[in-house]
Amino acid sequence: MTTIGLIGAGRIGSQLARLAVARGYKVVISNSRGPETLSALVAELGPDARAATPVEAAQAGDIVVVTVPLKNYRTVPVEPLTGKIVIDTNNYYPQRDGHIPELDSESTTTSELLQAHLPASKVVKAFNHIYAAELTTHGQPAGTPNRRALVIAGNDDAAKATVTRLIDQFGFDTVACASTGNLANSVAAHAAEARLRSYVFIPADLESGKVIGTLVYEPTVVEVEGTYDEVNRLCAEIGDKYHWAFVNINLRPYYAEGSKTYGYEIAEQLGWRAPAHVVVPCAGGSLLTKIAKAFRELQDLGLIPEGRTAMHAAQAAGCGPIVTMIRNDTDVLRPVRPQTIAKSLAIGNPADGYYAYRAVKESGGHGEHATDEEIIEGMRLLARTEGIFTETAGGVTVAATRKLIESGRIPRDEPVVICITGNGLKTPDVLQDRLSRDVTIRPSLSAFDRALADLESKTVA
Amino acid sequence: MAVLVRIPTPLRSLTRGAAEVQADASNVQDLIDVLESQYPGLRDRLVENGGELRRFINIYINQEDIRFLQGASTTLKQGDEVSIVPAIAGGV
Repeated sequence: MTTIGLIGAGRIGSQLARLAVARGYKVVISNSRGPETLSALVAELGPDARAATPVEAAQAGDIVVVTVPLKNYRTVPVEPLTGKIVIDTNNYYPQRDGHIPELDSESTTTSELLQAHLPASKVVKAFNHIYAAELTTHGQPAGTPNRRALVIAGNDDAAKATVTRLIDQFGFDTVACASTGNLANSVAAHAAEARLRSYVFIPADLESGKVIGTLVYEPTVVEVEGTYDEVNRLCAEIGDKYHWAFVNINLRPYYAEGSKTYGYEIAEQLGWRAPAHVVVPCAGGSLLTKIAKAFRELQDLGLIPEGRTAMHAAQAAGCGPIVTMIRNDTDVLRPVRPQTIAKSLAIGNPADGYYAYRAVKESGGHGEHATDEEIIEGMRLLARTEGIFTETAGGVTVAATRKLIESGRIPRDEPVVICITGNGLKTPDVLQDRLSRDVTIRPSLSAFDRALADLESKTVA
Repeated sequence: MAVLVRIPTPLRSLTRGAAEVQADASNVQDLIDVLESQYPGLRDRLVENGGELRRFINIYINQEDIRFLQGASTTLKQGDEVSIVPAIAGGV
């Protein structure tokens, strides 16, 4: 029988002990104050639980949970945890733990601290983003509609698989998102692969290409008759009520940190350096903020040379509250009602608007709006000059870049990276009436000869 | 005017766990004062020292953002539903 050792028996630890005993595990619990202080909990848990010292709990556990105040992580025994899976539930609370400089500077994470302390163990982060009380009340059997999901993180795939099975036994699994389309595709795809139940909330007027690109993974798609901002507000309320894992709302720290990979890829593809300028399309404002953070972290780690990258924001004229902040030089965001063909950027009340504004200002960047006409021309320009077919959001970025160059904000001789965040096949409708087919012929060489002569005469004219 | 106020999870520690509370108020400003008297500490979580709504707090009356109405002076009617929603998150 598998034994779960617990180092720490506070709110999370005692709840996990209850779940483990209820699912047939043996548990050995410990805390810093001594086994005798745990007699009431052991009595409640019954014969499958016993209290011990932290060293004994570490030795006895096949899987060991570390759930101590973060400031005490160095007291966790090292040697008895060699080769074992260690579940880390810790979060950083400076008011409790005191300031930890390497966390304040974001040069490491709480789990990396623990992993560094336990170099021969396999640390998996879990159970750190759920209220302790809900651990025993929100779990439901696999297959239950609306089952709640919990997220984990770690470097060892086998250890993560083991922890995933444990969480599944404890009763959690639904992921969800509010999306203008692209995130919906990703959440539905990843949920399918991970066998998670997923709910995807989108505005009802979304482009069919994006909806099909979500439906194919068979999530539950909820079309909301309203703007994206209304979908988002609704989802914040649903997340609160049903306790689902909305990847971009109540799990936003994970989603936001994930956006840094865009910055990592830019640096990597440039041969490990950051460009002088980056132009980023903004909807909620998260991507721009996190690309800036990615460059900063890579510099702090010494992976790219020191230097400043000007971050520029691109938004549609019909939905550009962040660019309006930048142009008016105010940190107060005025929400707008979106009116643009760039539906993936149609967020009138961007959550990270203030942060995106600040990242642009601190970096010496600027922002530009693009009208619907300019967006379409931007899409066409990128296709005919670079061979890249982008959706409307990419058209916004190209159009804004053009304006930033024309106004001198981006000097013509400096390197610039522009972020093309979506494929053109998702929004072909906007080009439907703009592009004409050239010629239709019978399948004979003579028909083609005539057509070619005709086409060439037009080109010359 | 008696209105229904939806409280988000992070603020429920101040409302003794209640997800929805009733309050009697004439406008949004008044509502914040009334909530403060019922649940001390709540005002500080909603507005800055100067009285401005905090940057990451959104207030909706019957699903409409009060910034599209008259802000803190928006009047309340009997039966209105007020939602307090912290920083709404999005994509890109």
